[in-house]
Amino acid sequence: MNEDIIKKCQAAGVDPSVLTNDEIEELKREIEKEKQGLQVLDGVLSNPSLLFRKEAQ
Amino acid sequence: MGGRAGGGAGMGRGSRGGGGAVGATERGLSKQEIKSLLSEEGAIRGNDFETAVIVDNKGNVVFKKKGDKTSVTIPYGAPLKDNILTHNHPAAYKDAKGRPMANTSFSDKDIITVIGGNAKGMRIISQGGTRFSMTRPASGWGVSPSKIGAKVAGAKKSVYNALTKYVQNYKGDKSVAAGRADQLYWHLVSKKLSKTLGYSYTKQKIK
Repeated sequence: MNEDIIKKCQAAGVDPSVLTNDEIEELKREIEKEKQGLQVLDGVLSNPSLLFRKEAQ
Repeated sequence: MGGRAGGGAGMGRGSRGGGGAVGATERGLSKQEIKSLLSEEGAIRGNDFETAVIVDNKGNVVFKKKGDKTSVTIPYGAPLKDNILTHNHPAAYKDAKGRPMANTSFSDKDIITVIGGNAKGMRIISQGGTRFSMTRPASGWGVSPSKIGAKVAGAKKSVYNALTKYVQNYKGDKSVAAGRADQLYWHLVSKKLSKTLGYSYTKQKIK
């Protein structure tokens, strides 16, 4: 997992290990958009279920 | 929840606009703003992708952009100042029970973007039929753009801790409690933050 993704997860309070492959790919696309000077509303890390995914098991 | 924004609503409670009944989430808006916002929200509500629309105080659409199922982008420098940003939330996320989250409130990125851009307010029309609104008080948002990130992080941590405790102490299937936590999380963050900063946060179910 690349450094950008880990940093984004840490900033969002999300454990990177709970992300699915699809979510990781989506997050990569969002990071690219931010690098292009765009603000991303919502996005993968705004999914609340990421926060409680471990507790749910 | 927080206090009401100033100004008179242009349409009475219970009257109809293009995107559903006018109510608590339209307090303080002009007739032109209400007409334009409800029309735009009515058009995007059922989509399975997000769309962001910015409306000025005369009801003119000054920015519109389509996104994807979980996000939409706006450029830095988009005309947010003193205008209203609305967008839709499709039921894209699923909770711990696998149920679509069809009525999610403002995310942290939503809040940081709109307060950072000193917008007049922000709205969401959710696919499940709940409309959310946050409105800047006459005195301003109550926090500088450079500090809004920390304020949002504080509200998130507080809500996360409370909901985690709820899930951990839940007797029975933890996924039931986690599903409730998933569904409530952003609403509770907005509720807490609006109290802390003193802005209006409202939600209403529409047909």
